[in-house]
Amino acid sequence: MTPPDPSRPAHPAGARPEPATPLAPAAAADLTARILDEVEKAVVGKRQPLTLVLAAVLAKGHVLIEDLPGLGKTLTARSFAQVLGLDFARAQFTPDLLPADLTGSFLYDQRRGAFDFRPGPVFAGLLLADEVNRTPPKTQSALLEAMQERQVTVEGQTFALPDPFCVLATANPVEYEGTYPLPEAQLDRFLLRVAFGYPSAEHEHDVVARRLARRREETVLDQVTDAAGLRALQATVEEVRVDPSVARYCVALAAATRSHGHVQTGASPRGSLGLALTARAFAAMRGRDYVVPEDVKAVATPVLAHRVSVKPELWMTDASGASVVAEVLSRVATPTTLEQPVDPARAR
Amino acid sequence: MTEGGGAPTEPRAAILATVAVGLLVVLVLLVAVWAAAAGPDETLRGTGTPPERISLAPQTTDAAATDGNQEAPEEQSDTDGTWIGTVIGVLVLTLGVMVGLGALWLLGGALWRLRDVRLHRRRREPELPPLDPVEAVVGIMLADAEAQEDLLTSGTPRNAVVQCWHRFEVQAAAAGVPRQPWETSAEFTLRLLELVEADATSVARLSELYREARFSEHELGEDARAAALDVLRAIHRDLRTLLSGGRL
Repeated sequence: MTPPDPSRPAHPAGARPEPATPLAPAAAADLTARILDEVEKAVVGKRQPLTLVLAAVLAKGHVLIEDLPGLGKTLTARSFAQVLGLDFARAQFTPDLLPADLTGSFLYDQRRGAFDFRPGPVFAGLLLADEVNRTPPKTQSALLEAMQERQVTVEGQTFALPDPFCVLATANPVEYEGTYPLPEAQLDRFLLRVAFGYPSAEHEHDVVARRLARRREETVLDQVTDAAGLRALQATVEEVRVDPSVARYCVALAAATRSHGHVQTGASPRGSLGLALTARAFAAMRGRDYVVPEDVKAVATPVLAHRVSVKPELWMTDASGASVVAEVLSRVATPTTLEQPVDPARAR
Repeated sequence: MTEGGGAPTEPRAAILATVAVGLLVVLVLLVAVWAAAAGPDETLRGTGTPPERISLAPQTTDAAATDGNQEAPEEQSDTDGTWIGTVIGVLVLTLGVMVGLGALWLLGGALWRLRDVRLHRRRREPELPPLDPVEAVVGIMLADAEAQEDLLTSGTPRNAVVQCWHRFEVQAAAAGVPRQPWETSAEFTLRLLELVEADATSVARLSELYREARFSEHELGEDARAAALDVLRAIHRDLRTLLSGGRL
């Protein structure tokens, strides 16, 4: 585990940075493109999943990266931390990890005769929670509560987490021995679940060639922005408009997962909210200050698939959260071409 | 698409499997009913050794044998035979019912699979209408070109751009290519304009203007209307070239 930096003060609750000023849509698009270009120097050929990860960061969400070992999960987190100019901490989730190892704890200072709070790795701008399903539910819960509330309480004292604060958690979908799979309620806390997949042969060769050319292991990336810049981007996303018809489309998609024949539990209202928030970030990255239905379609699978649990009798079939979302997308009606006239009775 | 190409064989195989299982069920039920109705004597035939009847009567003393009552052991033997036959009949019937139920379960499974395959097929192949009436679409688009331009030049720029874009849907529907409900307007119209080989840059620009007009709330000025008009005229020009060039 990355040792916590004692010089980094834990923010007391309420001490938040000033609200940032939103950027112009074109400036936001340009900045996000430069961020992705820089990260892609390290994580080769994965523009689409990288775009989704950045969209989640801009939407102030957290990402679960579920993929096989060696596909760049850790590298992605480290690269985003470098390029975004955020404090980076990595917590390796093991079966013996305790909540206090994550949140921090009070240590007795003999010189002063008082207890000092020593912050844990969760006090970072970007936390890599590596193999989050290898730790027992008690520690998982501590992390997920911190993710949700953006603060931790230790010995009755509440400490605000840095702003921006983002968790990139990884999980290996193949190994089950000695793991504690995240329950549905906790999976719901992640805005997106993303998989990178194997690179193409050309991209894989590119990875090898770049490593040989730079003659050292680590990749050093240029910092494109900093915490204040990221806050400005997040503020820009907050300005993006979601038309009521698009918001209703998000709700209809989430609701359709609940009545699907293959589903035991569908997406919660947090799912429809996640759709709208991620679609906003996606729109901002394309230089728009409005969301179109295609933005929602583009992010629907990573936002909804992990919130859908398939019926147990279908576990041995090809039914999955992703297949349910794909089916729902091919069925649910999209917003109409013309704006619907407002019903005067409802307008009143 | 390869998926679409391979899909039709799956339901056919499922139908064949369903029919085969159904026939098997009927056959098994007929055998079971016949066996239960006929009883073991009819069912089990052959030239083997005749069944030996074992007398369960106790060996009595000579005195008992000489009292003249020799019919009793024979009656006892007949009763035992009927009882054993009933038990075998019940066992055969039970077996038949179990086999029948098993076959029904298999049939149910096959039907469920058939339903699943059909559902899956429907999901993968959203029955799109064939997009081959290019000539009809182009003809209707060009015949309606003036009315579409009129829509673009009247009203506020926002409404004009949206109405102009919507007109493509109306034209396509008239040509027998309606928009599917799950398709976004932009997806459908882009598909349509791609079909008629309209210039991709012009189409992308008009699509961008439509989305901005429909979903944004910032000011949309006359420059947007002018840009849309330029692009629309370019699209119509392409269509006329397509029609006059004999490429249809």
